[in-house]
Amino acid sequence: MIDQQPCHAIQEMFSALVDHELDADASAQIKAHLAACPHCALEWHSFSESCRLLKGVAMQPVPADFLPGIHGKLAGPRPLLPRFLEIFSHPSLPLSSLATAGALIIAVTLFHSALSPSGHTDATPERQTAEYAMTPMVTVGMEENTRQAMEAMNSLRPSPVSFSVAPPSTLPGDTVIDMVPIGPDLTILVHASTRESQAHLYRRLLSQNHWRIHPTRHGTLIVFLDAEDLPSLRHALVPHRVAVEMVPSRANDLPASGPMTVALRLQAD
Amino acid sequence: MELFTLAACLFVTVVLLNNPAGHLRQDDEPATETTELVRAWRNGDPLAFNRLVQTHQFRIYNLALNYVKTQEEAKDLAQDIFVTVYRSLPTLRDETKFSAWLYQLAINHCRNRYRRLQRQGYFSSSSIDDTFAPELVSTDNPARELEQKEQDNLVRTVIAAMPETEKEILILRDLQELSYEEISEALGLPLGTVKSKLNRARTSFKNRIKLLLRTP
Repeated sequence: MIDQQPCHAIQEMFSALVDHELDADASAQIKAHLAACPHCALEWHSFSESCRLLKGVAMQPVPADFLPGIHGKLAGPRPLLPRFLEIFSHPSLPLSSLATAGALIIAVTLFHSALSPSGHTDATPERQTAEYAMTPMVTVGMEENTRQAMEAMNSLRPSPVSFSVAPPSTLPGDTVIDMVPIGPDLTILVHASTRESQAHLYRRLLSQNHWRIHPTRHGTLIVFLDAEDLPSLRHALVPHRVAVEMVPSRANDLPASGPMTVALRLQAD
Repeated sequence: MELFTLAACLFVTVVLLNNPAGHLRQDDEPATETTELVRAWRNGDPLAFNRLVQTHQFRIYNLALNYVKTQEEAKDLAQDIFVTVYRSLPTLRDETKFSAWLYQLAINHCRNRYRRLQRQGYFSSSSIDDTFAPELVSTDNPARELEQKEQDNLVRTVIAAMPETEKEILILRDLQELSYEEISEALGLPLGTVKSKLNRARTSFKNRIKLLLRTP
């Protein structure tokens, strides 16, 4: 019988009682003990109160630029040490395998360094392109100056995203974002595949109060905003399935704060 | 009419029992949807990764926030976790175990980052006011909001001072609201051990917070 157990045995079941993990009989017997034992009753009161405090801690919202930041890290170069540590963070590998793998990596790295006269890794453009091609979401249209756009963006390291080149037809039905470095501080050309997706984007932009928008007769929206609100603009351009990064008109010239102008050229294909 | 009222009461009771804390988690989603997303990503849908992140980012970011004290550091840590997920997913054998795998990976990352920052004196270099400072959200009741913030800070400070094993089990159960089974998988502990450790951790938390409240 639980109610005949010593107090410490009763108190070991407080956690299960809080979580409603005990059956009705066990719960009733603990409560009977609590009714007869002032010491345990006091302990139970403070235990349940502290659990209430724990469960009441508010969760914090995720920062708005969280997802683009992940793609930025994926697109950036991978330093050797974090890659090595990453292996040790992997949950499914036993320690002995990790130690062997670590020793092998060190041996291969030393051997490679000894053979290579320059001593640095061979990050050729082909290897970079292959790595960027793994980065999902961002598609740059096949414009004449795509190469310049890529170069301008990649010169902004640590940039949130690097570019892969793919024709707009690779994402049928999606909004394809095409970025060309012209215009005021920043120009973004948006090719909406349907009028519905264009309208959706318009509504999303107009619903925000971080910026002022002036439409032009050529279908371009001129957005006046503070440079600190750029992440919000980027977030607004990522409604569901497509992430957007922007190319400044003048490489490395994007202001960190203060007023700036962004031209959004929205076009229905 | 009475039957309808009884049914409504039963429904409300069941809902409350299933969600005793009374709040919704942003990224509650059926496990099957996560499995489908993992499959879609493995089959070459690059956008599935974004949906996976969006599904789990709330919990993982808040998990990180319990190990490191600033939002900036927590963001960086949580992003690193998803970068590792991106690069390590091919090694996941069972797609249905993604959530447990994600938590194992996230906890390992959090432990490593915590230990590294601790060695660097990161946790002793700032005042307690910098710790766990959440964003202020304007509400109709700023006094209540401030009180809640102070209470949250107090709880997080007590948790931060606890030994690693006690801290982790409290975070996973009471802050992240994982089930006993999920905790068992994430920490690699038998179910019975999870239950006994949780009772010890909660008792330790109770004693620590009592001591702190008594101290002037």
